[in-house]
Amino acid sequence: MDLEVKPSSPPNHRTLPSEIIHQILSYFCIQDLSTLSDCSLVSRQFNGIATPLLWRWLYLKPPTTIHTEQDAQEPSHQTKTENWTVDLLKHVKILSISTHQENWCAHSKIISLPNLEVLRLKVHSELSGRSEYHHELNFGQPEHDPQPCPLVKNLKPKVIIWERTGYSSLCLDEAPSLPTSVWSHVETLIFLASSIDAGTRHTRCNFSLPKEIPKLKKIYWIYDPVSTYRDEEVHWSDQEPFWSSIPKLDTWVLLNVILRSPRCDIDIVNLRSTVLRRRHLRDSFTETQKLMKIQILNEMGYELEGAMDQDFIIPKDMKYCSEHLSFLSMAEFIAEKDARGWFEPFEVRAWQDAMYEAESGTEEEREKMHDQSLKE
Amino acid sequence: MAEKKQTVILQTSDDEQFTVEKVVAERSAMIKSMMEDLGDQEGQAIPLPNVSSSVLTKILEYCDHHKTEPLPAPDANDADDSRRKTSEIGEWDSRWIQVDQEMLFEIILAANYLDIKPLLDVGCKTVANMIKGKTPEEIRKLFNITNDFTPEEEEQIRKENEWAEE
Repeated sequence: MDLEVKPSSPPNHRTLPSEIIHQILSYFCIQDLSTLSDCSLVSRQFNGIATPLLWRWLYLKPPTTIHTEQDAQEPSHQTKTENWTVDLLKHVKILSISTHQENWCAHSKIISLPNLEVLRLKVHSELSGRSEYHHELNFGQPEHDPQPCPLVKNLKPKVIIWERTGYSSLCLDEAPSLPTSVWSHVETLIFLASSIDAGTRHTRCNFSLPKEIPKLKKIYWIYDPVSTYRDEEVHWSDQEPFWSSIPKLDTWVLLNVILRSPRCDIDIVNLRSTVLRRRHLRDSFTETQKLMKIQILNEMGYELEGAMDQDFIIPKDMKYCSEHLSFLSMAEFIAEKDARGWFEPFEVRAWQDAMYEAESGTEEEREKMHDQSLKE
Repeated sequence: MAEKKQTVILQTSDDEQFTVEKVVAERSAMIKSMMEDLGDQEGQAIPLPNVSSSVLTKILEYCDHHKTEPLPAPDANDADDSRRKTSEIGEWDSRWIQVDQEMLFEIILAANYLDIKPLLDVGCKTVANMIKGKTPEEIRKLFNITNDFTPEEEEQIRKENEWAEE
């Protein structure tokens, strides 16, 4: 920390140094954009601090979408591109795009974001949960190569975050979604799956990949506790057969990614409540994770057998998958230094709140169980 | 334990001396490292040329209240670290920080100089809450800043950031 402070100027005229103003303004996140915009008009000094914060996250939504209640809570960004200058786009670290529609692409021009770190593809709620989007994937290369969307064409992100995975189609409706060049620098791939999907059967999303993702090192499959809380409850019930009450993940997609990446680890990130619902109250977090791992590897083995018929490029065996599959709790994930930079502070806070709620919820249930066993 | 409380002497910019418990003074990473450098030289005052006695009195109140809490990791990146914490300011802290604006800025500057990260965090969050909902002109007043844009520049920025306004 900089210990140099200018000698005291007369009272009432103390001004704060830029580093402190930066810290103050950095509390305004994507939900406080209008405040940042006001700050950018204060003075040159403030402008120099507020503008990068304002443009750090570019969140784009298609001009016409079905508006749901959830969409209304999200920040709206303009899609007019005439005021975008090279200097402003230099500040963009995170680009978030909602599900595509053709009229959206028609509006956009090719953009270059030289400092882009994270590309977030958000599958819109109106498209999630519709069975017709559960297509079988094509192994290998797609047959035709339609024009990639001008927005994503030139991007070179290090991290790709796929939101509302599992149930849904990809950002771009028709495969293939992202041109091979966009994958060339990707080191981390994150699937942000709604926990609600955790309770449903194995789903396959319309997901196509290049032949190889050369730099990929890490996949996180995150059961997002917040979307469980926002959507309806996960349908866990005591009547359900044992296996179906264990969260599912798209093993098929994961297997696909693993097979295309020379050195890649998978971390499954979940919250205690993702697995601890009624049925598994007696199991510890780690016991449940062990069960999940068996289940996931079983499914992968099954998928791998199928894949073998199809002349795969990089054959790998189940031992490989097993060695590279591990589990993280939500808290451990948030504690990873890089991970926090990929999400906005308000998202991390929502997770922390959900963690707190889940922990206190299970405690209560535990006490109830404890009381019952005493009576017996 | 009957052990005598260890103390340290702090000397402010207006030459006042404060005898402070070491656990309290240690909240300041800057004082902590100075104490380590001084070693056992009892009775030697640590000069704080950037902090006045009124501000130090106020800050020592904060340090005393929080003296039992774990110290933040010295290598923690301050921006990242503050983001991790919840947005809310604790109840005691928010009552304690209800001071006039001049004092608030003095506290922030002193927290920065003394390297007391959680205090800097509380101060900055308080100012952030004051900024919320204010017009650029009101923010200028708050920070005692003059508008150094030309009208053309101002118009250009307005246009660029139009989308961020509700």
